[in-house]
Formats: sequence, structure tokens, C-alpha cells
Amino acid sequence: MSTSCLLWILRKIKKEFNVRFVIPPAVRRECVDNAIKSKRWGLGAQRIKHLIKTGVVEVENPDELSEVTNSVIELSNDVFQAKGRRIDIIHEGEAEVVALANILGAETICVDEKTTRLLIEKPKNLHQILGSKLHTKVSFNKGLMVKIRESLPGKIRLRTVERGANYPFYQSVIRSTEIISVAYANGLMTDGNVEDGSMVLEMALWALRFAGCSISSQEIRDYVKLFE
Amino acid sequence: MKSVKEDVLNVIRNVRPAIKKEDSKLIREWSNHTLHSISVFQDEFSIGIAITLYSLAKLIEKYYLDPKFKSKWKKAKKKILEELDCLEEATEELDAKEYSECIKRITNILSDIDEDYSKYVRHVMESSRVKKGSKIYEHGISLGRTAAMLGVSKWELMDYLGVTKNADTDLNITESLKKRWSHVKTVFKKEGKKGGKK
Repeated sequence: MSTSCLLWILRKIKKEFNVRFVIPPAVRRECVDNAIKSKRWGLGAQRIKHLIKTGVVEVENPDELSEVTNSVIELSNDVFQAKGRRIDIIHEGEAEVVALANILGAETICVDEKTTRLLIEKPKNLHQILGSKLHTKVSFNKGLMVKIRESLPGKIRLRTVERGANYPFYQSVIRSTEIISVAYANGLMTDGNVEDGSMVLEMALWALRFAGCSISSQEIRDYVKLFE
Repeated sequence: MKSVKEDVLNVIRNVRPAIKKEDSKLIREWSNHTLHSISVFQDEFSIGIAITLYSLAKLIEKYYLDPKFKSKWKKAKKKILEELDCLEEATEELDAKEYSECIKRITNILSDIDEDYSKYVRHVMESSRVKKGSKIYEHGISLGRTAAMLGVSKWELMDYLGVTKNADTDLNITESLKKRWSHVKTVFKKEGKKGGKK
């Protein structure tokens, strides 16, 4: 959202819906502390820093974060194996987001990258991707996931089975594209700089897509249709 | 690691004729041969050879018709082939430190071809990391993990991924948009009111 100049929407959403946008320290380090040194990405990092400073985005670091993060990393990186070795799927930063959401009892997490989202929503798809791309047998340790997932507090669980199974705490993730769609649906996209209308939504979604958000062209078309 | 060693040795041995012939297309193909190992083992041997060969292919493509490059390239080529021997030996011994030194020397050889090329070589090496990163991300490894492995920033990687068709695979879609939107409305609801227009 930073590189697409859409961060201003977070302030409006926060005010309209009385929600909290919370990030863990690892995300702050990546998005602000490291990026601010870069000539290319520094301005984007400054924007995020300002949002943190003004309380639109909060940084939380509860005591048990490190422990729960390690659980998430262990869980995720033991799920798939190939060539006799586990595949390290996700990084500390991504695991920290899931861990923090669980500790705080968050309603959802916002993740633009694909792997973490697939791991939470549909690990079967991730298994298929790995198998087809690696051209080798990839084993999927469902038993381990069932055992360990119970140890994660909160609502956002890494899941192994299809919807309809007995997992009452399933929640899907959202992307920045969903946040923009909420803003559009509630008339929050106008700020004096853009004209209102469905073109704004479509162009904003494409801007996020070009900035690396994992939304497909079909999903963008579906969103535009949804609001027609 | 046996599998990594075999993969990397295979690449080093087979890319030699391509480098002698200055066949950038073949060099580039060989640079992709360790992508699977990178995704599974995430080791410096597989990563190092992939980035170096891809960068080499790009440089040959750009400067092949430049007469100034051709004359200097002959000397550089000889040195690179010698360093391939060093790479092969380091891989046999699984000596990561020596392997890394060989890679550095190859990068320096390319930079030293010409002062003008030096900045371009750095740019090519960096963009090679991002491009290989996008391939690894396609394999299913997360953005953060890929960025950390290759020493690139997530911002650079996302910026590049945005212009690829990576997001358009069917497996990327986990549920219908209508279902996703109905969940989103439960998250963003105004107190005492139904959430959103739809």
C-alpha cells in the first residue's frame, strides 16, 4: 500500500470501523527500520513510520511473542518435506505476524504474500505447488499439523483439511486488496484527489497487484463485478 | 547435501563448454538447474552458482556485439574457467568458505573487465538475485524466506513480482471472492450496523 500511495486509507478505515492495525517488531524492522536507509524505498518507509507515530498502526511485542513465533516456525517448516529434508517455507517475520495475531486474539491477519496465506487457508494448494515445481515427491505432514495446531492460542490456525472439517476456529486472511475494497464499499476512497466510481476500485486493485500483492487478474475482475 | 553436491557439480561441469562458446542462452539454462535445490536445501552452493551464471549470461548478452568487450572478454573468460576449477574443488569438499571466495573472484573478474562495466556488473548481480528470487517464490517458498536466502529486500522482490504473472495461477485462489468478501464484512463492521454496501 505504501508504494501504491494508498496508506492514507488506513486512517479512514480505522476511524470508520474502530479497528486496530497492529504489526509485530519484525514487520516494523523490515518495513521501516531497514527500508528507511534505501534511497528507493525510503519515502515509503517514512510514510509507514508516520502512521506508527500517529497511532494508526501500532507495534506490539508481548512477552510470549518469541515463544509462539518459534512454534509457528517449527510447525510451518516441518509440514512439507522433500529429498529427506524439511522445506523451510516461511520466515521469522511472517511467523511473527501469525503468532502476534494469535496472542492478541485478532479477527484476521493481513498478508499480501502468497505462501503464508496458502499455509493458513489451503495448505493442500501449497503442497501441489511445491510438488509440481520441484518435480519431486513432497510429503505433507498433516498429523504434525493437527497435533501442534492445538497449541496455538487464538483464532488463526494453520490448517490441514478442507473447510467443513471440525475446525471451529478457522479464519481466512485478508490482503491489502480487501482493505481497499472495504474502503470503496463504504465510500472512503474519495479524498479530493481521485474521482469516485468503480474505475477507482479497479485501478487501486491493479496498483496493489503491480506492487506485489498476490491477487489474480480474475479476482480483480470479480471484485469490480461484485460492486457493479 | 549429497544431492546438492551432485547438482552443483553437474552444473559446473556442463556449463564449461557453454562459457567457452559464449552461449548465453545455454549458460542461462544451466543457471536454472539448481532452483529446485535452492527451494529445498536453501544452501549457498546452489544459490551462488545460480546467481553467478545468470549474471554471466546477462553480461554476455548485453556486450557480445561490443568490440571493446570482445577483446577484454577473452582474458576474463580464461580466468573464469580457472575459477570454475576452484568452484568444482570447493563443491567436492563442501567447503562453503572457499566456494564463496571463488564466487567473489568471478564477480571481481567481471567487474575488472572495464571500469564502465563495474557498475553494471553490480546492478546485474543484484537484479539476478531478484529474478532468481521470483522463481523460488513461484516454487512456494515465502517472500520473506526467499528474500533472506538471496540477500535482497522484500520491497525489491515484491516490486519485481508485481509485474510477473505469479499471482495468476489457479492454485493461488483458495476460495471464491463472494465467500472471501463475506468474511471481510464480518471483520469490518460498524457497531450497530451491517457492514459495507454489499
